Amino acid sequence: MFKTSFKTYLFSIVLCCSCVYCFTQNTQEQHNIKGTIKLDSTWTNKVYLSLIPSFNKMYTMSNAMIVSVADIDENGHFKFDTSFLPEDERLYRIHIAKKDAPPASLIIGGDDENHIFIITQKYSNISIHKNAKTMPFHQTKISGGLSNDALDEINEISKFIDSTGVENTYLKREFITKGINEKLRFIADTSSNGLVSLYALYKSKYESNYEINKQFYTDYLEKWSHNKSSYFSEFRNSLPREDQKESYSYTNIILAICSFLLGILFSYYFWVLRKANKLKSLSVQERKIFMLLQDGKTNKEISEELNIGLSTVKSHVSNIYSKLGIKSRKEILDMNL
Amino acid sequence: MKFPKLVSVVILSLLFSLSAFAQQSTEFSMTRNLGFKESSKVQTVDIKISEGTSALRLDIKCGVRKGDVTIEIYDPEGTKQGEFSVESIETEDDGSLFNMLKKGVEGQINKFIKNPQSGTWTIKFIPKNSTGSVKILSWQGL
Repeated sequence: MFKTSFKTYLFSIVLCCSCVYCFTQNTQEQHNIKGTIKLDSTWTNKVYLSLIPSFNKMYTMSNAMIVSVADIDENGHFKFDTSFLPEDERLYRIHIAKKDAPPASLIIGGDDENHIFIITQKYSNISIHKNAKTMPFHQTKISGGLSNDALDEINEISKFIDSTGVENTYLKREFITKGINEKLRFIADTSSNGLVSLYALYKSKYESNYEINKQFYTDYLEKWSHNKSSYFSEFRNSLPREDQKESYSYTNIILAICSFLLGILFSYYFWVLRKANKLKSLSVQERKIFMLLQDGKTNKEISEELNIGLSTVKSHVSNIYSKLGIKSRKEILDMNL
Repeated sequence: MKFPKLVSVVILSLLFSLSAFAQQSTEFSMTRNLGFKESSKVQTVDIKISEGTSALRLDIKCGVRKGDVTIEIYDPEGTKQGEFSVESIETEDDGSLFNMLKKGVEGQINKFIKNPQSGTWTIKFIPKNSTGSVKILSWQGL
């Protein structure tokens, strides 16, 4: 009796311990993106997660980019499961939609800007908190991972570009914008996270800076040459490559040589072949006289050889000159047939 | 006789103050609506900004039922000052998340620029076999 009850107790204890262990394991392995956001009645109570496949698509809205939807409860809480996300870090966008707009809607700038960007992967735990009802996602605090702290910092710096217009003239604004872009390039240069680095570089409007700062971009590409992600591949392809330029110049040289050779061929055709073709315009007698002229014979010698009068030879020679477009016997002697 | 003089002085003062008030609140707004159906024709809308314009506000909203549309904003120097794209992909209804989002796609950009550069600002509208509409609202303060 005692043995049976002891076994039952032991089994119960082992079962409880297993349950507790499993529960703690499950708790530890739960990864998600969760947050709190307070919205007014103009917004729907859904929040959307989109995968941004390239930095050029940061401001592209497509229904195909949305990978998950979560409900916002009455307290403003929402949660995305991240178990289906890829294991490597990617750029994502979280957005909300107005009641009168489709779910796939993007608002850039102004009080109703409806999105934020985050960097995450399958095993990330990210918290997003926003309390004030005005301006959704304005001054949102993202915690979970150094990369998102860095995104926050970049966003704060980038905001200066818009805010510099408040009191300044165009020239002053340009000056300040240049300074801010320089700071963003510094972050891009010093960041150890590839996505953060590229995020800063894209925010710095690198396209307009490339031509005046080529060495920076050459060194940058060299530094990240090991990174084979689609984000970096796209960035590499967006820059005009120097080796491409060299190949272009080689192509130009080859084209120039070909053009030169073609020029010679055309000249040959016009100056020699056309003259040869002109021979076809000569009569049989004129051709005989032409051949004798090429042999260096005089009018008299030709007259004797062909048994025709000297004046007839002169007449034929005159015709040959006009048909071939030449002016002297020397030109006949120089003609290579 | 003094009373009418006083009245005329008051009326004149009022008129001057009204004209001054009108000068301060001079503004100019423009709305353009473009509808398009399976279009790939690039269109531009020019906004002339005169010297001394204190602010420019641009609200551009584009809704697409089908196809892709890119909207780009260029300043008078030809520098891109903002852009967005909307892409709507049509599929057969299979009850997936993707199909739940089939109500079309919408993009909106709101730009407020203090002391904008004078000259012609250009809004470029680049559709690719798209059906939808775009609304451009510009406001200038002098």
